[in-house]
Amino acid sequence: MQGITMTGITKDFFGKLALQDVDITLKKGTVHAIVGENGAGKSTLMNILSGTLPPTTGEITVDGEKAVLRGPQDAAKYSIGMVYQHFMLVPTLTVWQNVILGSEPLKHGYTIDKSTAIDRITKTCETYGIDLNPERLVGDMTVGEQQRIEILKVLMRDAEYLILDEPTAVLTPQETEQLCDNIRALKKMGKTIIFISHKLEEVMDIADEITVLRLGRMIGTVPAKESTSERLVQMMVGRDVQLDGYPMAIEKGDVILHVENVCTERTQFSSGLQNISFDLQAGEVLGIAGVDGNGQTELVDAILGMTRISSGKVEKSGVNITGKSSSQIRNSGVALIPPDRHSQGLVLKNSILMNSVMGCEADKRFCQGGLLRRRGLMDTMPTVLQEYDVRMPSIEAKVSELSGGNQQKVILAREFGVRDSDLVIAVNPTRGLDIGAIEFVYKRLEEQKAAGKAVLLISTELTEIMRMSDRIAVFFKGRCMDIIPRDQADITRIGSLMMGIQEGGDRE
Amino acid sequence: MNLVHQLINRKSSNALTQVLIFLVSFLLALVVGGILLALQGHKDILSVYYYLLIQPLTTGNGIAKVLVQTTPLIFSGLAVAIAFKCDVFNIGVEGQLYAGALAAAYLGYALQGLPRLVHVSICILGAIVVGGLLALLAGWLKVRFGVHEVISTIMMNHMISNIVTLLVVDYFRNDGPTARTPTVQDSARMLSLSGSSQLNSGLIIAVLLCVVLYIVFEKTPFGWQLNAAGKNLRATTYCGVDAKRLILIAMLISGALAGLLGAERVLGGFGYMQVNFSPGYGYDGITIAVIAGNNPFGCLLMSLLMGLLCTGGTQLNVMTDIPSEWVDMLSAFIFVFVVAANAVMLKLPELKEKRLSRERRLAK
Repeated sequence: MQGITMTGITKDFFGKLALQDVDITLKKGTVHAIVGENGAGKSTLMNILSGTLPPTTGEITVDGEKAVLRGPQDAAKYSIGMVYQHFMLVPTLTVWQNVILGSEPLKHGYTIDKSTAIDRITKTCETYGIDLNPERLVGDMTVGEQQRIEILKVLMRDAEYLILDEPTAVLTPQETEQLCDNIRALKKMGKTIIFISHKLEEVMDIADEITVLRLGRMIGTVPAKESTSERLVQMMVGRDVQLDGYPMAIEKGDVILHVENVCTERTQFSSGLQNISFDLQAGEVLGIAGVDGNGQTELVDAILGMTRISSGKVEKSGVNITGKSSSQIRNSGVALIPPDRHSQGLVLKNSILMNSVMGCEADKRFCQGGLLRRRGLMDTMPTVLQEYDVRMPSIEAKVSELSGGNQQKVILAREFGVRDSDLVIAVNPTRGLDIGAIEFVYKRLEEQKAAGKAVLLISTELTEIMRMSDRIAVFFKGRCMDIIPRDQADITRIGSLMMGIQEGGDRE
Repeated sequence: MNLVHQLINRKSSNALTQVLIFLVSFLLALVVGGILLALQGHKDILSVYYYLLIQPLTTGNGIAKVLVQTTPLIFSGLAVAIAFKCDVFNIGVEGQLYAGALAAAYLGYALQGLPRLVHVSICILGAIVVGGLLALLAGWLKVRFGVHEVISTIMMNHMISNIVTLLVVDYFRNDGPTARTPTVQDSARMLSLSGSSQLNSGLIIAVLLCVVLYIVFEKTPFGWQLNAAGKNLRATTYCGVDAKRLILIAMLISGALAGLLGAERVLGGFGYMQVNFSPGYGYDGITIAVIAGNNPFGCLLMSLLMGLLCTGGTQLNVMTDIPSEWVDMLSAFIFVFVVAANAVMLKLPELKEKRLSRERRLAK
């Protein structure tokens, strides 16, 4: 039989079952999508198929032959290749140098045969309709182009089965469209594509079959033609969830955050901020859209006083806060949901209680006469944490024992429930959360907006930006390309701006 | 390096486990030390341990001697611990204590005609300020320019101890064979607690400071923030805590404690400042703080034990032909075993899970 069958796959991580008795059949020459929430076991399953992880139990057959995969080399023997979410490319080398790295064609046995290498690459690119210039430096290329190099690398090693791990997570809508074209071309050439994603629209667009995983179990495989996104969400979550929608209409108030011509220094790794200006009013959500790494981090750090602003100014409620220390700015009433809750939001080794008051210990609810009062803490915090629906074994338990969603709720409790603020900065607030928790975060952000706070939402998930924002600013290479009111926003336009293409169509 | 950080800032919540780990490590060290002695041909190992650990505690004079050794170690342990608490390594206690000692000695003999309480307070204050400022300098270099405090404090140790020696020899020298300052005024002597030894009210200050630091660590916003900064500086900063200020304050207190150590030695112990008087108090402080897991009371207990080993070691030297290096080795063994046991404890949950999953797999 042609194709791959995996039967009874179980993976046990130190007593935690990441996969439990998963059966899956990947038909040759099809595009097979695997969807599921974070922690559903998608990546584990693919790592098993690519030989990176051994299964605890279970059997894999490739084209009818029983396959034992002990490493990526074994997988390559069975023509299985994987394109990882995080690219493994050397930015200081050119495309062809990256592609041949590790299997260089040689001239006279010792020098690298550049012309053969480039010939082979051009031929492969032509066959599969991949658009790449082999002489270009990888570091200068966009994420979408870099991804094409990774796909090319796998193809050059004669893979028949290509595994793509969340390939669209880092792409703009246009780049996603191009990737889908590439995938269709590959399918036409008889390749089998296994495609992991949690974005349902694109999955239904290009996949032939869709397998849904939930909490390590296979829920079912459905033909894409017969599925609807409601049904898939229900399979993924186990209940009905409505995440789509429009931002709530609230009357806007005074300008809370005024950013005027802010620039920060260019560095080797970032383009800095180039002349950013915007106003943010009370009761308004301003969404910052953009591919990761286009100035979003710099913007947050500049507003919070973490990086030096080289010119321009930031005002909060009419007070100039440019050049103030980050603790002064935060204590002037700024709530922050940082992008990375493990490294920036929480001290994992400390208790939930300590984390939930971090930075606000001196609040007079907890602290009298310079000493922390246990009574004060225990009168306030359990209630606040309960209000934010933190499911915890005990308030003294370490925050690392909580699930990602509950950890994020601890941060929400601290920033919204303990700290006083009139400005909320939320950076990728739902990253890595399951759908239930995402719903919860949206609800809480809307509450903040309804309470008359100004909300700056920075996210790489365009759907999230569209769902929450009253206005949308698009960032590209540290510049604000445009600010669009939600009712005039459309995905294509934002996508172009995300790639630096202005109205006229010039690419900068 | 990750493990080192984990070890230094390991959880202090489970005091019982820590005490157990310590006791087992201590016994193991005694066993290994005994084996080494046996290999050298010593027959009566029990009596060696008797002279080392029991005999000093049998007389009042012996206990006083132990406590004299303990006092500076408490200061040093606390000085290192408070910096460790926010993940800063103050290796500079050794230099800071010399500077503090010189300040106390100078103020002690140069000022005259002051009431005792005032004079002692001025001398101590001088030592605290000098020690604190030196540590603060290292802290400032760290937060302002990113100079690693280990480098700067080690370098400063060399500079300070040589400058202090130079000052004592060339400017503040007492006439006589040893390189030391003149004896301080009687009004600058700290209250003696026993006539025959150097035991003085510095011990009371040290014990009180243990209590104070415990309260600071456990009950104040500063202590909580210090603890958070030690475990995740970035998150603490993002939570609106001024981590630079935190590090500067911690270094200031650390250096002040080192200065206090110097003052205690001068005003309570010798009565003058002699060059190279410290047998490495500053470095012993690192050992103490690490074994105590930065717990102030742990520092107190560890200092008592190190004081006992030190006194007993001298005793042993007199009574037997065992070299004092053997005692140093013994305390090094204790240190290694405690650190190793804690490293294992940190890895234990992982190992346990691994075993469980293997058993579950076999059971299928």
